[in-house]
Amino acid sequence: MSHATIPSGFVKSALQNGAGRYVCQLQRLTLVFCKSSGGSRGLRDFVEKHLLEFTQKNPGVVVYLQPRRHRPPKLVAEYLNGRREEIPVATHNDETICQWVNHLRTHSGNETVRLRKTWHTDTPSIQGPWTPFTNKDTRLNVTQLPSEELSRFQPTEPSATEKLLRLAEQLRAKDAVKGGGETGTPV
Amino acid sequence: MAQHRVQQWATFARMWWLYDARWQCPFQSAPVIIRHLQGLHKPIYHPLSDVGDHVVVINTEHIAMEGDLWRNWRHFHHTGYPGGFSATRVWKVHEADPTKVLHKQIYSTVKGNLLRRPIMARLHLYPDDNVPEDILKNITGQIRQLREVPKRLDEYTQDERDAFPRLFEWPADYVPNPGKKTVKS
Amino acid sequence: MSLVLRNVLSFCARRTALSGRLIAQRQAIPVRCYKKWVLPAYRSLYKRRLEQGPEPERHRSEWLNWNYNAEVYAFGQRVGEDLSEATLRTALTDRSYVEAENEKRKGLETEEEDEELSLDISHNEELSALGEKLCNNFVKGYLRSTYPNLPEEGVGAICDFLTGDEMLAYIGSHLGLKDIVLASEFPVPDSTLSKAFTAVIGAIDTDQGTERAQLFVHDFVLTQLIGKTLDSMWTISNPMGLLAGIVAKQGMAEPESRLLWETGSETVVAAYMVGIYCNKQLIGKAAGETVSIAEHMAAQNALQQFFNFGNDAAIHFDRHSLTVNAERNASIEDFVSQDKTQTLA
Repeated sequence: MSHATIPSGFVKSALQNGAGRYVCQLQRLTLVFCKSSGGSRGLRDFVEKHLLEFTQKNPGVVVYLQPRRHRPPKLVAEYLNGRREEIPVATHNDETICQWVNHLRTHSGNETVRLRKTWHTDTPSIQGPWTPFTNKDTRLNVTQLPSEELSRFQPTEPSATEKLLRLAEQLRAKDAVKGGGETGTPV
Repeated sequence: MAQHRVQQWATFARMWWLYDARWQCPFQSAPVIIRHLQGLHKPIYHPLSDVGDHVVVINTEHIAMEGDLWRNWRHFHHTGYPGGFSATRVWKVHEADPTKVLHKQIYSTVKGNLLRRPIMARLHLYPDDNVPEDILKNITGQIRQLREVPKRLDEYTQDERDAFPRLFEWPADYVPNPGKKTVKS
Repeated sequence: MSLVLRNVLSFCARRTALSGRLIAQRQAIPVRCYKKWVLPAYRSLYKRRLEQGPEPERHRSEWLNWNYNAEVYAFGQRVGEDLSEATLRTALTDRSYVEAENEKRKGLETEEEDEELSLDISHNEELSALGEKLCNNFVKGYLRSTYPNLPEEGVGAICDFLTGDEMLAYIGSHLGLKDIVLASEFPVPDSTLSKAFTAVIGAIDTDQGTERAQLFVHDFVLTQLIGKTLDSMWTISNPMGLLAGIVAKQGMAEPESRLLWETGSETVVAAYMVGIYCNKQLIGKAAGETVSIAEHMAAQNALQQFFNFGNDAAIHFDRHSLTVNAERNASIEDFVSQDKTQTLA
């Protein structure tokens, strides 16, 4: 399966949360459970032992209890951006449910997708993003193209002809210093 | 908002490059041209994002082949019908269409994936200097040649010829290649 | 059993089964075969559902798990402010709601005709006005202190962007105001939401003091500046003219725009980069789809340099320096030399 078919997205923050103060994005938590069935035992235990602590620590989250007969237990979380998350917790024990509740509390409410980048920045570049014109001489814009200078091959090593000419120059210079054609070469 | 838009426009702007193929080898030039056509010369390159540039190649009729390749290198073609296979020597192909040699070389060097067609569409080949006005106006940069253009003897000035170092002088009455005796004595 | 007999018996069984199916059509007898009626039926249902249109939006209170008192309390706690219940409820009650309720009560018949069914709640108009004033003053003051070189018109434009109905409604709905605001209309319009938000600011000011309210505005309203460019908030119609005026006032030479780069000028996807020079010094550059767009953006870029508004001068959201400058910044006219004011559009 290609990654294009699976939804993906970028890191998003809800309302620049954290830049100013932190706001818990969990708005409401609804606990749906059965008062008698075995699958809801964990959730019932959670309500008895851990729920009060949770509500005291998170006064900004409204917790609703929905005892519903013969229905499987679940946690329903509603977030400030309007999204809902449901977690079925049948036969889970209360510690696991604690972890799930904490998981829901710390979520931003954004959809869980594959993150293309695990970071986001509004200032990705200090010197400015690259353009095809970065680090190019602006004289290129006023140069008439085709230009012989820009087209000519630039060798890394001197060619045989070049070497010969340089050698000739050196010999001529030596001859000029010595002051006369001792060797008699017509260089 | 507009700032981001124009910034993106600048980053993904398509450049138009010029390449003079006079005395250049097609086998050597093709990878360099393809690098610019694909966009591999850009730091923003990604195979899935279409960041290739245009390349205008001039003087393709003056392209140079190594050694005997004008005679020995063949271009194959099959019409699709039975018995439709043909192999043509490159000098003959070049006579008929001076851009074909470089075109075929670039086409076969580019990877045969779906990106090949748009890449070839961005390649503009001209046999000589005559490039349409509107294409010339688009051009932004020039790709450097890969081989030195050799200088013929008649392209040297008399001064340069005189100043060229000599090891010795031929005698005045020296006749190079006198040839065979034609008259039997 | 002979083959013929077996075939005859099975044929009879099938005939009776078929007649059974025909007779008792209402009893769905499961049959393992392709049912031709399934696909057209589902298609028809789908089409009919689409024709009905989307489900109408319902207020959150229409679901069973709803407790208004708890929701209001939670809002106060979530936002991190210690507000009294009465003030908060007043802040969340819109005038339209109060009027609608009074209208309803007029229609009701009372046991004693003298008794008036008055509603013992107040609306948020006063608190909203108080909050709006505080918000505007604080935002403007903060911007003036952070960007001392930004003209007053720019400060005003950014403040309008940040404290407009749309923005405040967006912030409010992401804090959970949409469900707890009492209004006559549903869905709650932006103006009502922004009023409730400013009323909450006013409530904080009343209960906890101006500093806490300013901190609230800083944390929720000013942070919306993150990632925003100046030209998205403040539209300057003639940036080149303004730049010319500013440059003349500072005693520099007239700005000259030069084409730095162009590519594909005969194509649809042409790109140009224009630079603005003053005394042969580059003061701003930008790209564009056409030369005029590039020049416009380059002038904007140069203006941003002059106003010190850009990546370098990003707001640091540290709550220790909530400095507010009540004094107005210089106006555009003060930035520009006298003879150039006429060139401004």
